[in-house]
Amino acid sequence: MSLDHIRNFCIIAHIDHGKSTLADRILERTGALSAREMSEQVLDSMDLERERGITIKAASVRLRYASPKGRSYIFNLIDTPGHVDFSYEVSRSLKACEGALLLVDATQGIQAQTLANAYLALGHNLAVIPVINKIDLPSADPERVMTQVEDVIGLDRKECLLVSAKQGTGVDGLLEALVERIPPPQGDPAAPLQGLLIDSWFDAYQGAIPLMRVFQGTVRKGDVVRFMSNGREHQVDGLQVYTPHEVAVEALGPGEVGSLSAAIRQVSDTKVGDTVTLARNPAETPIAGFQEPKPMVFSGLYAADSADYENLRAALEKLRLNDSAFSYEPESSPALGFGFRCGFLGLLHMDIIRERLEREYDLTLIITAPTVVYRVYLRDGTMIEIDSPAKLPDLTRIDHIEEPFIVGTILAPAEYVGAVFKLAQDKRGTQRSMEYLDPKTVQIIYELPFAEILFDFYDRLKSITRGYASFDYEHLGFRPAEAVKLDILLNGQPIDPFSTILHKERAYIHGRALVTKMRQLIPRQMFEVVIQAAVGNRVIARETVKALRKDVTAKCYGGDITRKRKLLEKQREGKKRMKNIGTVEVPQEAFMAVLDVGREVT
Amino acid sequence: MPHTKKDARMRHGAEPEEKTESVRALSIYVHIPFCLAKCGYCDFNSYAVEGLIALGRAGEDWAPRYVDALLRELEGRCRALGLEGRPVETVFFGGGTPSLMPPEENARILEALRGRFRLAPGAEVTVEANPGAADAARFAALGGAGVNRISIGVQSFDDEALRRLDRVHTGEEARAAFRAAREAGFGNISLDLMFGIPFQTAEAARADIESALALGPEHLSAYELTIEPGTAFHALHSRGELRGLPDEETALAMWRLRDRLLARAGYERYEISNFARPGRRCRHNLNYWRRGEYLGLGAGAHSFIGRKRLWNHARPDAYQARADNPTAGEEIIEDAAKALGEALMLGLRLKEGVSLGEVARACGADPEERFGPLFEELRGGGLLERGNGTLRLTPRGTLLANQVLARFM
Repeated sequence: MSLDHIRNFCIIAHIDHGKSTLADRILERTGALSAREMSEQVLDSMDLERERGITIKAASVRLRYASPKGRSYIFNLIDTPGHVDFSYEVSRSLKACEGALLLVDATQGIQAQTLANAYLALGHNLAVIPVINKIDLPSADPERVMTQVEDVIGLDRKECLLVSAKQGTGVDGLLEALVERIPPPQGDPAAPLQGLLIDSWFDAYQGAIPLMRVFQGTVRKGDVVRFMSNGREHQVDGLQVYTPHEVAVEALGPGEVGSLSAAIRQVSDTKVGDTVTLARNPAETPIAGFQEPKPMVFSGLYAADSADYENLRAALEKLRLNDSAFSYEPESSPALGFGFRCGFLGLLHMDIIRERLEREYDLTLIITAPTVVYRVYLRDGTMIEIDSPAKLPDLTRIDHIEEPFIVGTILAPAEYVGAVFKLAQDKRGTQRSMEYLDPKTVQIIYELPFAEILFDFYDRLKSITRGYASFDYEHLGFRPAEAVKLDILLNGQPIDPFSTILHKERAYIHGRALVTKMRQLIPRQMFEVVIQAAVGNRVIARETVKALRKDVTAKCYGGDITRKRKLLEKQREGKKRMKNIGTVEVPQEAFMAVLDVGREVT
Repeated sequence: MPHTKKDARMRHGAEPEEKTESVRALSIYVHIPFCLAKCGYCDFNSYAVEGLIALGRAGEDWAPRYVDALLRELEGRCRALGLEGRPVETVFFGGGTPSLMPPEENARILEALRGRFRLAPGAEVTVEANPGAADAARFAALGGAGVNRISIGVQSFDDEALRRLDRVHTGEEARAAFRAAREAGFGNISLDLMFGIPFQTAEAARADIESALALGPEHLSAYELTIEPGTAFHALHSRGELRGLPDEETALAMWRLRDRLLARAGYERYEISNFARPGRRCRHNLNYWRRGEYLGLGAGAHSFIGRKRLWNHARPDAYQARADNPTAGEEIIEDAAKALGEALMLGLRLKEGVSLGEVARACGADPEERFGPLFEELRGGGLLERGNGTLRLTPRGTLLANQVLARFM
């Protein structure tokens, strides 16, 4: 069976370079959806994703394209996440394709993410078609961008397609180029099944639904499939493709992209990058490159009202069903009681999970300062990995500590090089290289501690370069760190959720900023509240919230009763939103302050 | 000397206010929302008469027309709520400035009330007066109509402070008003004082209290100035333009000074801001704090009958247009927990506190059962004290009353 009529491709682009608009236009031109049916950005199905303007999870659309030259083709457009938190998912989506549209904004040129993804695509031997978008804008400079494509990525400038996705200009030519330049898939439909799992989501009725690209073999309804990473087997109830409407199919063969329903209980059984094969005729080896999802950032999640503990657990369980990159395990905090230590791919991932818990499960959460994983080498020669400041052993037992590093690629206009250097140095970076991509654009590569880019690195980079710089990173491994634990004490008691591990030199300024912020946030109460920041036994900053001495309503008569009662009820509600730590009432904002201060001073 | 005071009380015999069989008795509040001018701090439902006339919302005959409407409301309420013939222990004309009306209008209202209710022989009948609308003839006429208690809104005797408060009278006029009430035969006079006035020093507050004491009133209400939403002061305050408010330290000193001076002069603090000579506590207000029933008549007046709280349209013209049934809103306190919250919120304002047994009976919920551990916690914190089946705020708890009361909501 010839697979000549199939083209599998994705669109890789820097954020805001027009990926969703181009996808919409392709859907429209292939008749998948009428203009009336089109809602903006069909591929991003979750509200939250739509609001944030980013794609979190991959999805795939099967399109029928009738070429003016007479033949009909099937296009599988595979969407890719657009944020570095999800770079592993991106690499799996790329692997599922034979080609990629490299979309570059004609007004902005190549950005760090473009570059990272282009290299990734070329590394997967994809046919890369450079597409220069937004040529309709007055500030478009396609000539310059074509030069960049040639010089930086190494693709012939003559290969660039000039497009305005918004106006539809050049889209017909682009569809033909997909046919001509992207090779069709290959694979023996009779060989043992190898399907690459590229996405998975949870359906309330059908369980986890894995989406896969078949490389070889064929899966049919009724087959028993096996996931090669964990050996679990499931009988296939149904197979689906998305046009983007869901359409049931009888079989999926080589080159095809579709999902299967098999009453799989949880998404965590269906990991992105895993290989799907058939139980009765399994493939000998899985498709290379599978990685267990590995959370990089950890923080504690607690229900503001401890009565919600079980609800939080249930919500986390459900979320986890749908997101295998996220992890949680019970922890307890002397200050906050019972909660969970949760792992995320990055801060964006953390924000998304928090928002979903609050919005979809109606929980009010306290989230503690995020931390990276530290490797702590003990004097007895053993090493432990800690994902929480509370787990840091006593200093006398520690030989040394290592922290995770990343290698970051920054692309910035040449005039901002000095500012970028300063920022990277402030963040304890070591320069690896600097290179002019063209006379106006510099690529600077730095090695940086992951903890330093966790908070505000990207925001500050944007602000010091007036929004022109872009940034991408990869994990490098662990390096020795001069890390200390900063504790915050309320009335002499260390409050564990406020503790952070940070670089020795940061401790003073961070501690100072934190106690100042906390003094503003902790309301006056019946007793004086002393807030201290300490490293070990040494107090490095101190503030006091003076005791409340007078809070009394002078007048209350017959006409005031309803109103005064409501005021007191409101006051009571305010108290309920606070967490009682010992005798101190701490508002939720104080917990977030740890995050904010991290963003401000590091 | 507490013993002397107690003895004195015994000699005068049981005060009517101590009676418990008057539970079913009703209090009547009559709201007269008219003033000469609106003061910057005032959040009462009151309007400058001249302003209303200028806006065409009232005519020169505002008083009789308003009283006509009020009597229509009285008739409607009595019918709707089945109040006809209930015993009434207290009547209070508040405002606004009730003494601004021709006294015969107050008399007309009292007469109508006597026609509907069994006004007890010893009933307390108070009229609020403001210096500036207070002369001996007017007081005499009120006395003749059956009024036996006058409450004068003095606020301060310091002309500068009075100007800052937008009061339309001087300190001397306040003294004159008091003397006029005495001359007219009133043996039960209360003064309203305010402290914490912008730019007021602790010394100035002391002078005000001493001036009040020199007049020898039977009762004193002494409030710290509160910046209430919807007032001119609040607007200034939120823009940061209300200058000279005493700092917390000074304000606390004024509270302490007030308590000390008044106690020394033989006035018992029986509520957070209220002081009385023995036997002279305001029975009408005690009824509020004990969560008794009351019928409020007039624009914006509130009533509490049975389990229902209801309130009238606030604007006099709106009220007068619907006087047969001027209800603007109501709330039924069905929840025992809410009733309990109210009972504690009100009762703990009193120095004597609340009787837990009575509260349990009245609310149908046992406060001990609901709040037992909380009572203990607050007692341990030095905010509440208990004894003999009663619960009350300690002196420290009094200054932090909202912190305590919020816990019961």
